[in-house]
Amino acid sequence: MNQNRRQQQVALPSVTEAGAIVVRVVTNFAKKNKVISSSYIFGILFLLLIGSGTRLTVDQSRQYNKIMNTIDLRAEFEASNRYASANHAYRATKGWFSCDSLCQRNKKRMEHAEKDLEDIRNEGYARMSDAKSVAGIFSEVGVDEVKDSFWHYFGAGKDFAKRQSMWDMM
Amino acid sequence: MFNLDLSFTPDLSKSRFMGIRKMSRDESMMEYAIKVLLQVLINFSMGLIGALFIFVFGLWGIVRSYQPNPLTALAFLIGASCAAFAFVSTYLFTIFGVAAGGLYGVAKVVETNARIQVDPGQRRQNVQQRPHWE
Repeated sequence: MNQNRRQQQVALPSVTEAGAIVVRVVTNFAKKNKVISSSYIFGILFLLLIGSGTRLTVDQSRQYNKIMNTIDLRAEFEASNRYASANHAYRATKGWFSCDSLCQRNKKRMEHAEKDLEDIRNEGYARMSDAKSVAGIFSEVGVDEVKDSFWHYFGAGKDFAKRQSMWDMM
Repeated sequence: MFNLDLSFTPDLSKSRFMGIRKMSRDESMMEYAIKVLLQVLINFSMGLIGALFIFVFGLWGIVRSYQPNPLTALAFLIGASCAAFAFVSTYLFTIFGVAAGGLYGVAKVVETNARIQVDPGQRRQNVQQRPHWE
């Protein structure tokens, strides 16, 4: 009986053996998948070397701010308000499956306000793009924007995992 | 005046740990814990790999807004994608490593306990055969 129980035991590797196994598996994987492992190393190097971006010079900074300040935020805010009220008026006069003359007029106003808002926004984006081109994608402005985007998606991925785990556990 | 005390109202973050999936009849505690752990690890892998793909697809829009020349754009795109891949894979390796390390530790404790309990008679015999000065 005791003999059987002894035979049933699985001998776990010691800590040093387990470490050696992990190192061997990782090394074999790196040797077999050269593209993945070189991408990993290149990514780490990219993070270390360009992780914070190049600093803007005084001229670049001045020009960047000058162009950014030309973006008319007030005009965008007002256009956004006009569109919201026109949209509200259109929704209020619209029937379930019909749109009378008053509704048609409000619809035209809403579409006009929407187009105005879109034009103003596109103009703003174009100016922002001009300002960014002064700084450059490898500058601190570019790298910071990419990092913000990454952390946003990374956080969303973690939130998804937590939410999904919560539903799985219920 | 009606006064409602909401100090003990559980919010969503607290209720997260209150509704843990029920253990089935033929499931041991260890089996149940490992299944829950695996589920959490799979969810994290899916969430983070999905986030990595969405980030890489969105990256082109950001790069284009800086109006770089095509070579610079390509270099930055590849570099940033590799950097994101490196970070996400390191994060996943770490959480998988911590989980595996924890399981290894628990298995070691179980193994040690099993070795002690395997032959109590043998231990008694060993104790009896010790020299009297020990």
